[in-house]
Amino acid sequence: MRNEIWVALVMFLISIGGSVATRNDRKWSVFFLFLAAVAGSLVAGMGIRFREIVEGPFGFLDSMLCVCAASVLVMLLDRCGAFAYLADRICAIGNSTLRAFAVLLFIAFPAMLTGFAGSSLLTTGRIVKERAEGTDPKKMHLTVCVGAFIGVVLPPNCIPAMIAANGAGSVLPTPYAGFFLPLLLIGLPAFIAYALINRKALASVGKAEKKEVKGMVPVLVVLGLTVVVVIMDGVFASVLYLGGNTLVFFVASVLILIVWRGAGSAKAAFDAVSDGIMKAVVPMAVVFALGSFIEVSSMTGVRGLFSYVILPYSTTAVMLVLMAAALGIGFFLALPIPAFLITYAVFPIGWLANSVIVAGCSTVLAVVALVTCRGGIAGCGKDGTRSMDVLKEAWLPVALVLVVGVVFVVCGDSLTFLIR
Amino acid sequence: MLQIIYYVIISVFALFLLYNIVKKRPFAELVCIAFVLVTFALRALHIK
Repeated sequence: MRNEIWVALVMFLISIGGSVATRNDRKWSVFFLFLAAVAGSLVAGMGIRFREIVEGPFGFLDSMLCVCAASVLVMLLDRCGAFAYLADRICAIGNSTLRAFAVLLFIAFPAMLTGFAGSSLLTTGRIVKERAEGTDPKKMHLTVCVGAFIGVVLPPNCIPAMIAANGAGSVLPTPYAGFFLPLLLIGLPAFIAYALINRKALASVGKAEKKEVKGMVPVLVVLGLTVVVVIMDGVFASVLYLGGNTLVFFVASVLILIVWRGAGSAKAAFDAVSDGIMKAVVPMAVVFALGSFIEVSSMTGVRGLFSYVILPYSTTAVMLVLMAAALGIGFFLALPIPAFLITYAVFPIGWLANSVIVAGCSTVLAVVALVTCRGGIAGCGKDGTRSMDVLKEAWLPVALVLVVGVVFVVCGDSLTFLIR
Repeated sequence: MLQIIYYVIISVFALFLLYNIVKKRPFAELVCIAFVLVTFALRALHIK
């Protein structure tokens, strides 16, 4: 058997073994991906290649910095009471359909900024769950999870798209740029459809009994300006460069620290920033470990062999087959192996690839994060939550996201006008 | 100028991670922090 196949087998088996042994615990997947990268390097007879193991994560560094900065901003908004204030305002909306849309946007908002679902579940999702009136807690939990999933898919930040973007090209990864409109078009149908079919549960969110949060105007002004700048950066990036979203989120965080009069002490502000970074650590570490895994697979010739094998086939067919494989494997083994497959699916379209196609491919990763038999966004296997419950709740948004994703993969070359 | 700002951002995040890694945590979480910290620190050292 070819040496590259042995290397790939060892790397896959370690990663799969880790997923099975830890019941898809995301924290442990970092350790096993790293172990697989080291083992792959050793099996190839190259020793422990420190350079490749740390060079892989560098390809993701810029996008992960943005995720980290957004996570700090989200945590500050949560701690200073801006989210609670916004929830009060949303609950005051009289029209139930409008309120359902506002609540879903409220749930999705942190995940839109950070690109990972956990930030929604721990902030706005928590607030919505606390205020739900007359809705089954399990139903509300699933609603929040689906809202977070939609937030992950929507722009500006989307970790699945960042992972997929890294796969294109062999020497340099595709930068995470030009994804705003493709991601918006992928997420919008799911957002509208889910808000309409789940109107009753979403509109059941009521006002808190606690005293109303005050002094939020300066914080909301900063938040509003941040949203405007992020949209401008996403839509007009090719003609107007504002320093990137990392800088925007960082400056917004500093401004909130300045105008947040209720912080009380420097320690409260310090803890909020620290917690914001810590909330992003696991998603960032998973992506970095995946970077090592991919880099070692390239170094040991696995990617070369893959290129040779797929040579006779059309790139669209390769992408669709790998997307289907990632979906199937991801249901049982969660994110690591599907993420690897999606980077390889995008690889044939080359460096500076069409971000519409890349975004289409990445939809599978967002779906796998939600619909998995153990773990995932909804925490399947814990507290009586089953993957079938998640599927029943999320089938429509998941189907819409996947359908638009496949259309983007197939027709991406005709949709380049979406890249800004 | 932008390089310097990004250097500051990475350094600030790395310092917070350093602060958090010394706290008692489960092994898997420590691995996660270490992985991110090493990447941030090495990249910060590379910025010219």
